Amino acid sequence: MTSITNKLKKFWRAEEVPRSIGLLFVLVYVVALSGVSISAHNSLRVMEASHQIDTHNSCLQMLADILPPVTEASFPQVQTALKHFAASRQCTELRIYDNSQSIVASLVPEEIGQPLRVRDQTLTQTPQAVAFSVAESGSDGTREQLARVPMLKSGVPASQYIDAVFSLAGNHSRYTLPTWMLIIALAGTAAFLLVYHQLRRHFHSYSRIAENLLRDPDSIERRISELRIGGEQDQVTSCWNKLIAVTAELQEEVSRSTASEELFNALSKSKTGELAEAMATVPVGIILFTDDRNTLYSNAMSRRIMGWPRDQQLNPSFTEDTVSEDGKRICEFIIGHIDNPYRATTVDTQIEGGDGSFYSIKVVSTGTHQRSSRCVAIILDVSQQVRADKAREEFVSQVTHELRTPLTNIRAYTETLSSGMFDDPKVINDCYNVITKETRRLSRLIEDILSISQLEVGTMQLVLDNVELMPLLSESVRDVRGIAESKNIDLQLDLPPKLPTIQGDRDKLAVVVNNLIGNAIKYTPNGGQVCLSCKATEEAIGISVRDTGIGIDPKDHVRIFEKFQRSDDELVRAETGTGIGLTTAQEVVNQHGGSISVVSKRGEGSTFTATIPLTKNTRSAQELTTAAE
Amino acid sequence: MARILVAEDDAHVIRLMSMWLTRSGHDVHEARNGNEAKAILTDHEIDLLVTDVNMPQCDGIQLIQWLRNEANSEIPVITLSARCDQAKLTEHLASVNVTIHAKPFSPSRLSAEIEQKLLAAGKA
Repeated sequence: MTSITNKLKKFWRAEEVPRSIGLLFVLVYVVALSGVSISAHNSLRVMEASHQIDTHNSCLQMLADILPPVTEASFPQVQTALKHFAASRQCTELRIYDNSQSIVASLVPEEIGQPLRVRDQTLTQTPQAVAFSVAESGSDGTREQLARVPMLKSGVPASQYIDAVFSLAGNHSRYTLPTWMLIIALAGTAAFLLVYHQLRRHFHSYSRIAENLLRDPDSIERRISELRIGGEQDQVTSCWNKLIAVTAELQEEVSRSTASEELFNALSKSKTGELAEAMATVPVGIILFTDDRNTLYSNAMSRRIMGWPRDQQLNPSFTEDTVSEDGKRICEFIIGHIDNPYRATTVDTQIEGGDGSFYSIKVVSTGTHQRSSRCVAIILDVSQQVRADKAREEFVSQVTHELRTPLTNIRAYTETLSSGMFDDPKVINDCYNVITKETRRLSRLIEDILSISQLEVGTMQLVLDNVELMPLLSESVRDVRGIAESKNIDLQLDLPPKLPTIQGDRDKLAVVVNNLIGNAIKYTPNGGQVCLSCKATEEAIGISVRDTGIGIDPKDHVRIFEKFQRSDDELVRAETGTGIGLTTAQEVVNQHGGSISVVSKRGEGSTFTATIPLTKNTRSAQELTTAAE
Repeated sequence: MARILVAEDDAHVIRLMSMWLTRSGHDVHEARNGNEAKAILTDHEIDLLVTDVNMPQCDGIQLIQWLRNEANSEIPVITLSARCDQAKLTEHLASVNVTIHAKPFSPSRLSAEIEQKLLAAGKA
């Protein structure tokens, strides 16, 4: 019972569309089939009978025309003609009577001389007219045609009439009702099966779609791509799958640009509120454009980058002459997305800002969802990142070069020694010296790179010890004397008779001195002068490197201490360098509690001074002197 | 004996090349930068140029361009480079018939290359 109820429910809800529709179709079909068959059968019967009546009428009329009036002389001939006619035309009764209603000739000889029967009187009594009628007779539903025609002879009114009764052969049609029903049933069933087969395929597809959708209606939005239908790919299924693919793509694009839509809504609702205030202060440029090339909204950062006046907040058109060519180009890019709300496009470019500085910017633009005639753009200032990337790239290039230079000498001189082609002791000694010096140079360079690496990750630590400055400074000068001599540079070491011992990291302090003196020699032209000096006070010691080199523009005094940064001076660029020496030196001195200062002008040489405070554990020069005494 | 110009800002490399080439019987001229090299190329008849790429004042690329375009000289040229963009450099210099040796280099191989170039130029 339950199953029947369920089936009925399913049928009512059309969940099993193919089967229920099929059953309904069969019911309608059977009823229609019966009606059509009966109707066809009856129609054919009527048509057939009508045709027979017409034929009988014509024949009877012809008989009346050719028969002579019944007289004694013509009686045998008339009787014979009647018999022949009856035999050939399925005529059951045939008689001729005169005006006195007496039968003068008949198929049945006993009727001759008898008065006309009552049944025949049902025909029209009009003696001059032709009369016909059809009557049911018998219990089997057979029908008869009653006919009466006058015998008209050569314009003389006939005094005799022929009465005839024909059997109508309606029930003897070629096809009976069951036959008709069978024929129509076969043809109809074939047609039904053909149509049903076609429809069922579609119903099946629709059914699968419905099943997919009804499986978990609440999560359709989240898994729209899962609504694809596998298996047989008919036209409906293919169309459905295409629809799902397009919808999924749209859904993805919509989610991508939801952020810009939300921004637009928020701004339009609370332009004077907290959000507008936040928008005005964020370090990201935000611009809303209308399709008439006017700015609906622009925050302070965007106006600074685009070079627009600060107080021009409403409706500045970027076609005005006050907007730079760069600004117009960027605005054209942004406005190009006004009719495309589903795609955010990014471009990296440069622009000269209102403050005269060049900005490297990333512009992200998209049309808004709700108002197709507007678009929003976000402008990110990536100048620092671009500079850092460029500096890092340059650093890698420079480090490669710096590493290869000492390595070249080490390899070449080692091969020279091992070749055995040079046996002069002086040459051999020189080779060893070069290899030693270049190995130390390489070692220092690696120390620098390690230091900068430690700076990057913040793991630089000092290994504290008592450091004697005198030998440290002397050794540094000795290391670079060869390079100085090759450039005819007068390298001087100006030290007081006594220097204090300081608490510090000897190796790292050596790096500081080497970097300062190495830079001085590198950037001092041939024939110049470099002097390393040291002064001690009660509180601190100052290690200075003074040169007569190319000097440094004051605007670069801060930048030269930044990681990987070098001055843009072409004289500086002519020399190789990694941009990490001064950074490392400053960091090491800072960790010792001191600082590095620079006094320099372009073309007037430079003086770098590292000042390191003396700690409680450090003995001053005065104490040393006393101890020595 | 051939006249060879070595243009290099590293004194150690110049000295080393001089040792090897002099031992092979060549006459070696030395330049510490591109401008010095131009002066020597102008004043002397040089059979082969060995030049560093990174040099102060006038670098190796500028020197080679000057040599081919302004001095109209087709003498063999070998460059020494410690740069990391060797492939780009090779592509750049291929059109002017210049051979590139990456640093660090082998002096014996460089000497052999020089002899081969001189032989091809008929200066050996």
